[in-house]
Amino acid sequence: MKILVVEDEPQLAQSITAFLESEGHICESAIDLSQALHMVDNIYDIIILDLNLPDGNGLEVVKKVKGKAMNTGVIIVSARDSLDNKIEGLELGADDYLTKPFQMAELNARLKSLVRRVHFKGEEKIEFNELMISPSELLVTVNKQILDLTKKEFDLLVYFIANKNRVLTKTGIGEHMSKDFMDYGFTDDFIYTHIKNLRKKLLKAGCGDYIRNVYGVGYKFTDVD
Amino acid sequence: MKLLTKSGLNFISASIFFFLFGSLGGYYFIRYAVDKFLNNELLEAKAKIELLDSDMPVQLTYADVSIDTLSSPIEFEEAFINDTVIRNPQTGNYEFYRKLCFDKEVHGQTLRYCIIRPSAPSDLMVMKFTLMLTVFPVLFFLILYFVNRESTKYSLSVFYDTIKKLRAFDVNKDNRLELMTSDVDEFEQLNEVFNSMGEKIKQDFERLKEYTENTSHELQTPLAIITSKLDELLQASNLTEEQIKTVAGLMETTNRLSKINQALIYLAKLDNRMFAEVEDIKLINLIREQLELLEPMIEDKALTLELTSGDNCNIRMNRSLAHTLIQNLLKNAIRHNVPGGFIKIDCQQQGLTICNSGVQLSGSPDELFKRFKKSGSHPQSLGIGLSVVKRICDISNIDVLYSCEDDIHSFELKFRENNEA
Repeated sequence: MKILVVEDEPQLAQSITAFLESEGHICESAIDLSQALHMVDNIYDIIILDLNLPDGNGLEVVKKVKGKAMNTGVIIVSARDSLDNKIEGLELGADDYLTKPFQMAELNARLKSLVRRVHFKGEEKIEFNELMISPSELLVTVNKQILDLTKKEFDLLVYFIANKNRVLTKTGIGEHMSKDFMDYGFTDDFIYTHIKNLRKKLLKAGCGDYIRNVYGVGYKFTDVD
Repeated sequence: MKLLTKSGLNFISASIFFFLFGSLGGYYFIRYAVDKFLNNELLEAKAKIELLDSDMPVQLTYADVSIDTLSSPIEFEEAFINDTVIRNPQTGNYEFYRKLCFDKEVHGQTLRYCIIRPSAPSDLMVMKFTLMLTVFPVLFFLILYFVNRESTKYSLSVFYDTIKKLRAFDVNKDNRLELMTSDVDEFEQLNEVFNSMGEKIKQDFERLKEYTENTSHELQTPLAIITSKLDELLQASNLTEEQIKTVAGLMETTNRLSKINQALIYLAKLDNRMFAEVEDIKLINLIREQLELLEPMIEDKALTLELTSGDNCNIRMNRSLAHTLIQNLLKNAIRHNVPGGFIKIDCQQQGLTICNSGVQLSGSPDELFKRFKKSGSHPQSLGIGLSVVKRICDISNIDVLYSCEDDIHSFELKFRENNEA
């Protein structure tokens, strides 16, 4: 995927770019609005967009991109988490909205989900060894056998596979699962319960034990020992 | 005591005092004057009688004079005056008289002259004078008092208005302190001071809110950088267990920081009245929705849930606020519960009660709704949820009460009649 990162904070831009490149994407970055507006004349698959730019509002970029009816996904990343901002951004055609600060794993999950939605019209299947997930049908199969998962467990599994081989902290997982929960809605125990259940179901269906505990600080979904 | 009552009471008690002494004094003064006048009359009569001896013609016009011949020698060389009661031969009534007696030797005989004058008319006069002295001023002062009272009341109306408005003044609300102008200089000055003070308080408060909001927003970006850098670090393959734990701890703390920050932004938004639009909300549906979301947590703690509800429990408030309110209360009931405990929810038209088992509250119940007050055993609680609850209730015209009996905690929301105001 070719991704444009519009972010005025060089440190953050560098982190995002480095991460995306490690995921195998091609990344370019713009540090202000004029540069971003200029750069979107090229075609990008995904734009990761900060709204508060030194020379203007990032929503201009959304307008321009969506105005050209290009098949470009836009993820807004903003420090402002007010509903109005969110709605305005999404109404203009942005595909997702992420509030700062966010974890890379979360950005990654959103990015992958966006790629599926925009570029594969949700038809793409996620495969991981014997696991096969069809997000549009909320279906998981292990060795072609259908696995019965709750919505949360399904969500968790997709999140894990999207971030395979990465250490995911418990807070990050909790964040992802609670989404718009302002306070800590989900305690460590709660996350633990969910993961325990998911793992049990996967193992029972004959799936390998991919969910690894990382020294009690988080989890890692991997098939590498 | 009201100023008006106070000054009125002072006025009345002072006037009673002065009138009492004034009329007593007046009485004695008139009494003295009239007595003197009467005595002078008698003495004048005496002088005239004494002239009888001379050859000059004398006419006694207004006094009864009796002359007794005494066999004894002169008893009263000087004239003496006393009061006496004499029977009126015509009416048969006893009447008060003033009598002047003196002895005089005439042709070797002692003659006693007694001049009497009725004193009743003069007594009456004294009474009338005194009465006049008392009644008219009393009437006069009463009228003065009422006129004064009304005028003071009128002037004070501005003052009362000021007090009323100051009492209703709330920096959080979008009302300005507009005080009446007065024709009384002192009140005018007072109101001027209050007006400028109110303006200043508002400005300071606005600035503070703005500051909080800006700071909170500005903090989000550095926090985002820290989070992403830590995440990068965490993914490195050559970390020891200790290092991973340290990094994870840092991430956790950063996350916590950003949560606090977000909560503060949310509170600032509540303060800024950013959730103004209201709608009718079926509370019971909202509760069911939230319970469904929280079900894993309830199951996790093996809590028994009891939900009772009346026919309709609608409330008119902002949807997003209702959402947050119910969520925070339910989460609170779950988080501070004991494994195997219970949650009882009773939803009625007048209010909502959420009861839960738990451990006894260690701090003061009054402190519960304050920001950053929390029980130490829940490191993941920010101590801000209940202050959000309180704030939402304040905004939405709901009374929120907390009570704790042994180890059962209950939160009671009472919807005020007119909760759309």
